[in-house]
Amino acid sequence: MLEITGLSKTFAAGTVNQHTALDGINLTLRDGDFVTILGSNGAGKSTLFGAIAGVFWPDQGHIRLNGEDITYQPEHRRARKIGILFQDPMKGTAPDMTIAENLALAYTSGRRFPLARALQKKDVAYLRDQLATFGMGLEDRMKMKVGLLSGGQRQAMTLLMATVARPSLLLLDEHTAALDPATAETVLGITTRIVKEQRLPTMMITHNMRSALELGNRTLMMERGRIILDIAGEERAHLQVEDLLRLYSGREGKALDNDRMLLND
Amino acid sequence: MTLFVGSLQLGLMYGLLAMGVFISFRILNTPDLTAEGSFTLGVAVSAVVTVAGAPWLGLLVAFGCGMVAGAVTGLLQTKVGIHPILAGILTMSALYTVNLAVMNASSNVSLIGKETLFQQLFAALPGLGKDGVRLLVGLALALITLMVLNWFFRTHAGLCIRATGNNEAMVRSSSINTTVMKILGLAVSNGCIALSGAVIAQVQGYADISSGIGILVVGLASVIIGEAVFGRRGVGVGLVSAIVGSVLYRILISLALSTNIFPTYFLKLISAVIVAVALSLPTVKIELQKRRIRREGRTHA
Repeated sequence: MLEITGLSKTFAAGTVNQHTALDGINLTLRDGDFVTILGSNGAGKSTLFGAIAGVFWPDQGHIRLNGEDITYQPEHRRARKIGILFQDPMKGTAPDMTIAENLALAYTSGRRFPLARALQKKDVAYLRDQLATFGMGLEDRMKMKVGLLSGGQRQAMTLLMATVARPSLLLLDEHTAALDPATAETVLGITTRIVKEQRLPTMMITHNMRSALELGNRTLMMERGRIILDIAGEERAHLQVEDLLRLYSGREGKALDNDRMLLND
Repeated sequence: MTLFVGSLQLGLMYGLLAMGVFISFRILNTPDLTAEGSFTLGVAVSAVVTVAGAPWLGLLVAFGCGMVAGAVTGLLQTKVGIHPILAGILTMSALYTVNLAVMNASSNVSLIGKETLFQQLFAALPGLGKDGVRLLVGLALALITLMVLNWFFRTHAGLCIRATGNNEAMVRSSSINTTVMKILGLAVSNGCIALSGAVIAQVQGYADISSGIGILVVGLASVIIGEAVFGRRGVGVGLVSAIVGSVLYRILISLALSTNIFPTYFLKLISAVIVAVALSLPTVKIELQKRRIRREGRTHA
């Protein structure tokens, strides 16, 4: 369970470039929650992820994960509990290392004696089986360097790496936006399966309004560092993209502005 | 033949240096200037401990001291946030004083008349002859270090170091402490470099404060020559290719010198040119490709 209270962050405070990226965010995610997040450019979506993952410290507020206050915990310490994927498929894997080595790194991290052999038969067999469920044929190329894979394959691998060590939270920052539509569909399919199997609390930033409403059980809309819309359950089930746009302009008094927003694809 | 045997002996001993440079340059992806200081540190420590009567211990102590030197650079890079190149320069500069202190404020230490590990082995294995013993020591040290490093970079810690050098952004968002990994990597790298200095001091029979000048370029040249032969592949092949590159480098240098084209003092210039040319090859390839495209574009216009 993730609890965020009063989270604020202002960048370049006191200069002409002062920018309030987060403005008193309150948010609670229960186990099994799959939240999709929409918002225009600069609404604070990625900044929210940055604060949760520990890329920077917030000015105010607290972040608790399963009861533990992680607000000021070093990035690598909380990374054990938080899996994160970015838009750029190159960010999540080491290109000069093999598929098996990349996966083993994520799977055994922090649980092994540092001088134990990294690739142990049992682990590799397990990782191979997990990879086989993706249906991409990657399981037969465990000794191949990751740099030789396509963006979609690398993103699928990153997804496995982010979830294989059973984290308590999964953050997806437009993780399919750089992929072609068919590959994006595949990676989204794998995502929903893993999230469902592990009942893993998940937050997904997307610019695709249709998938924001179709995937998961709850949708947030952010604007100027605040959550302006939080819908779930019955209300969300009947919502159409047009309704969402109407809700937005009703609250904000202007049309939604995101240069990459997909209304329907 | 003597030229070849001599190159092989020295090449294997400098192969330890080449592996150390391979670790910083290719695995950690930072050219680490600490090498210039840590090599001399190995030379100095080994000579002083040999004078005290323990040549084998000299190698071990040198390795340990080299690791400390590398760790200092690592700390400066990570905890203090100093640019990697500058961090290396600072440690290298500081080591100059340290090395003089190790050699009791003298700029050289002679091992003539002292019992080096080579003297011990000449006496123990008279059948091999002096060249045979030097070859055996070079081969044994290179192989043992190669095997240990090859094992180390396949352990969990080794994998973490490799990932840190390969994609730091990924490692930072995973649960690996990149600070620790960089420090550890630089420590192992400089340990190998100091070990190389340690054995060189004993084979040449003296320690000199300027032994390390230009040594990073020698290491880089070896790594690059090795890659020209083996290509850029995994860690195991990379380490082997560093040793082979080091031997080839020695052969090239001694050939160049024996033909009397260059006087001896040209050595460092030649090494620098080899490295500069090798590192410029990718850019040159791209430029040539661009030219070809432009030429073809014009002929079709």
